[in-house]
Amino acid sequence: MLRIADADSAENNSGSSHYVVTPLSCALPGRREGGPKASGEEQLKIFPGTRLHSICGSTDPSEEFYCNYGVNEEYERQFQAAGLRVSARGQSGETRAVELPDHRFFIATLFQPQLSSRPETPHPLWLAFLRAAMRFRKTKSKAKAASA
Amino acid sequence: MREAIRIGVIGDFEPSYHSHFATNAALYDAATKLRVPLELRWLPTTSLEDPKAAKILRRWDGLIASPGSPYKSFVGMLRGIEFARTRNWPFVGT
Repeated sequence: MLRIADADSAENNSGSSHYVVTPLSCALPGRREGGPKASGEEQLKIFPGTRLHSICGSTDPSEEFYCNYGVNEEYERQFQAAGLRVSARGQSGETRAVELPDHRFFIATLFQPQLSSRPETPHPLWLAFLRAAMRFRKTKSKAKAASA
Repeated sequence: MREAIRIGVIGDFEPSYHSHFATNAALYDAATKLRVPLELRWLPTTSLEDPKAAKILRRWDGLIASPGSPYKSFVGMLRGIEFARTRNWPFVGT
């Protein structure tokens, strides 16, 4: 995406000079004992006009995390220039979710919506994703029928 | 009955990882809420190393990149995400 041939995650210890994913610099205040740096909840700032905002509503939700690594901020501008948009940030401004505005449905999060999803109240991101997949299937089968 | 929605989860399933168990549970719960049958399959990262991985990936109506790095095959994971990104396939990475 950024045309960096040896782009890598620091977790892989490849010796690459371009780690676009690096260890998180600060732990969440609610870090669980023995858990990774980002564990527990954090309230997010979701930006209006993003797809994530239209899905998760206007109230800034608290989301569950379980991870140690995040976007290397040195590359953030390059990612944005390549078309990736930051849709949510954490309390200290770190990237917590990104999306591709011109894509049918492409959202990546540092938090895990599956951890706060409940049988009676599935997380809205999963509902929106399945709806997008259902719409996509319809367009796929139409295209198939047209070419048959 | 409605036709099942087919979702592929790119990742190496570990029953002991709470995040993996929760991924399956959240998707089935969401499908139940939408009243649509769900066909859910984990796609091991090593199976996507092949340049012909598109054949596996295109069978699904939506793709998910699972949590739980380091992956068995980082190349396979990236190939899966690249497929979704460049072919305009519905995608969520968590």
